[in-house]
Amino acid sequence: MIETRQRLGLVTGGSLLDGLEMKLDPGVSTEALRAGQYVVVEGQDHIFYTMITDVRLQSASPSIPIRPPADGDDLLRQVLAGEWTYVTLHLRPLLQLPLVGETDVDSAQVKTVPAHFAAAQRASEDDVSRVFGQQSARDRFHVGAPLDMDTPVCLNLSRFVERSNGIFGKTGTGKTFLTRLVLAGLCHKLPGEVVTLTFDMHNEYGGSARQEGSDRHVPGLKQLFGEQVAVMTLDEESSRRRGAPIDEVVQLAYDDIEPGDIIAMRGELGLSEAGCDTLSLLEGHFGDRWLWQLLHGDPEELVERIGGHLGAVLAARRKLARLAGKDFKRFLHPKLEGSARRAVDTLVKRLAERKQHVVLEFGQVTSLLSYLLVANVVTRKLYAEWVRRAEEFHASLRPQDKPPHLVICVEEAHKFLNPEAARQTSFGQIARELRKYFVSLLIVDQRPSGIDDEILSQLGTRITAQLNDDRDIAAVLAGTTGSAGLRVVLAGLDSKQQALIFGHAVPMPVVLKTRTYNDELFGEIGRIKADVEGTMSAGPDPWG
Amino acid sequence: MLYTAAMADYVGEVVLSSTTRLTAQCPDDDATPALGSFVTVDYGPGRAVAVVAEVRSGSLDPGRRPVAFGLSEEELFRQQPQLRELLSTEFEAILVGWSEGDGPARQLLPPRPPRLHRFVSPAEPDDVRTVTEGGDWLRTLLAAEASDDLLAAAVRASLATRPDDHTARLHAGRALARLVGDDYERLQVLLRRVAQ
Ligand SMILES: Nc1ncnc2c1ncn2[C@@H]1O[C@H](COP(=O)(O)OP(=O)(O)OP(=O)(O)O)[C@@H](O)[C@H]1O
Ligand SMILES: [Mg+2]
Repeated sequence: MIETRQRLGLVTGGSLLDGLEMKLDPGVSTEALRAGQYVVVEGQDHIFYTMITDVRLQSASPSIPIRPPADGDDLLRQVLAGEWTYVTLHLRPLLQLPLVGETDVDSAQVKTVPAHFAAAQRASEDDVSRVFGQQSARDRFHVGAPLDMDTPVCLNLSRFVERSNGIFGKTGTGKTFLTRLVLAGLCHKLPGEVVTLTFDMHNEYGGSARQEGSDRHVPGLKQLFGEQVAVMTLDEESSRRRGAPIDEVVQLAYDDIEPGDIIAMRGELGLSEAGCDTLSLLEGHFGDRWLWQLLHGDPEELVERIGGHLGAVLAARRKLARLAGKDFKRFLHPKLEGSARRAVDTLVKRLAERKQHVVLEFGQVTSLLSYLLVANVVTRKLYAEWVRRAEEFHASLRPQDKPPHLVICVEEAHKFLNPEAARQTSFGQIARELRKYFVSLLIVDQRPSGIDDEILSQLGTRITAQLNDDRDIAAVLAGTTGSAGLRVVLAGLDSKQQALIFGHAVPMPVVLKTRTYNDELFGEIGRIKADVEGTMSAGPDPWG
Repeated sequence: MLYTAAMADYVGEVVLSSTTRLTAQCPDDDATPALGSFVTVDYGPGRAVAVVAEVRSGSLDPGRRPVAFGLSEEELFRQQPQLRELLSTEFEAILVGWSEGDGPARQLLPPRPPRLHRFVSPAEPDDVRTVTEGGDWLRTLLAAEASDDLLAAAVRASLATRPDDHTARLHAGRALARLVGDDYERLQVLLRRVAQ
């Protein structure tokens, strides 16, 4: 550590439980400090990494704030500064590393506190890079830099995929850009080991996407990774019109749908308890033709076959009639023949065998209901497939049987993972079962408070941009130690391209200026600018 | 040499002394030292530095009080010239510094009281600077029961020897702050007087 750090003050108190209290040296301006900044405290044998979570103005006598110096009383002001009036910082200890020797951030949990009067200094770039690792390492991916620094902060991707993760932030804060960045990292750094499936409701991931507030377009994953990424679409017409580089069209038939898929979105459909029972009864009698029977069969005959009330059957039919509506017609058919039938199978094949990353575009299929249905159906099937493969692997233990790790990325996650839906969808199951079956979620949401608490608390790594709603902030921080401090940090984020990352994939929480999705990144991935643009201009101008 | 130099502009002659204070009689009413100013008394060898803590005028004979005449000063001394010999002005000073030889004076008390009848003259600026370096001398003043006005006047006098040193005022202020402990109001008053 050759680089000298700026001294800020010294530790005057604190505890392992509550964090450290530090007195700021006179002469250091409070305005040069920011909640979320790193401060390192040098103990005798260890260096403690801490984060500023509070800045407090203190006075040594209660009379000072009552009779403060008058306006022109500069001498009094100056004399008071530093001794009678002073500033303390509250520091939250994050890591404890030995002063000399190897940096092993995995065993760097804070176990004690430094002694009185240990010197506290602003963390240097060297300190930060010591913790966040080198971006050249196999499974590290540079996702940004701490505010006011240039040192890359790297996400440990191996750890990242071990658990389900969340990307949160209110609208326009850069969630989609961040998600695309993380997906690009997974494609780039762990090819073959990790595959991703993205439910791309707004057609932002596969092909080029517009950058807000400019006419510029940024390349999508397909353009960056070519063959490694497959773009599938539910709405071929729209994708072609936009010139999206599609590989395949995905269509669903009625017999792809199970009552559970519908029941998981009963809130959206307004389906009653009795309605749900009717669906299950139908399936009991008609198997995978249940939906066709409900929508097209004779209601009275149905009642005769399954029992129950005509009213319940009619109500269910009315509610589910929406599945035959305009939006659904683009991808949902009573019956499919030949290769179209096997769309979901090819999806599995691309992911599991060809180890391709898949972006599933929705095109002009814009209703939330379609999005929920497709995501539920596809995820259920994939999950079943992965469970099967994982069990085979656990039985045989042959490396070639090991399925690639699947990361399923969904936006509007609270629709799948609200307390009610979480009990019914495969999403809920995946989020709870952790890594047993090599499947995890990447949930992207602007309303984390809508997500089931248990699932939130299971998330491995949380990446959160600015949030305004107190409930959302509380939800994102639920179950973390020292959440009061992080709350302050979170409140201080700018509305664009800044995020707080904490959890499994980073050694300590970090406030980030997210890496810009630009040529420098494309260069790292091995795609030069002209290369990317070449792919982009291959189709007609999607927006012209 | 030093002796004559001190004699040339002396402001008093020691008439009472101890290791902490001295009382000196002024040779001339018009040359009394200012309250809070620094004076030096020659030990030959060595010299002590002191802060003028009180100046008073009165009758030489403790048994006889001067009475009021109702005349202008000029008229009074023309009519009663002998009064000049009966009245005297004297000052008391608190010892704060000491130098054994020719070196700079330090924040120490002299080992012995000044000899009676030695002359007291205004202190050299260099001596004032070395004695008032840091804030310990203020403690000596305080121990000798100096009033807040005296403290402020002495600080002002010490600052006058450092006209270009902008941090000196702040250091002196801080020293006062430490001295008064947690009595914020007293600090406010002191600093206001220093700043005047
Ligand atoms: N890492 C980044 N690199 C470049 N531009 C960015 C980045 N992050 C955010 N931006 C800018 O911010 C805009 C909004 O980002 P984005 O679309 O990702 O927000 P969002 O949180 O997904 O919003 P919404 O909730 O509406 O989907 C982008 O169009 C882009 O201009
Ligand atoms: Mg978005």
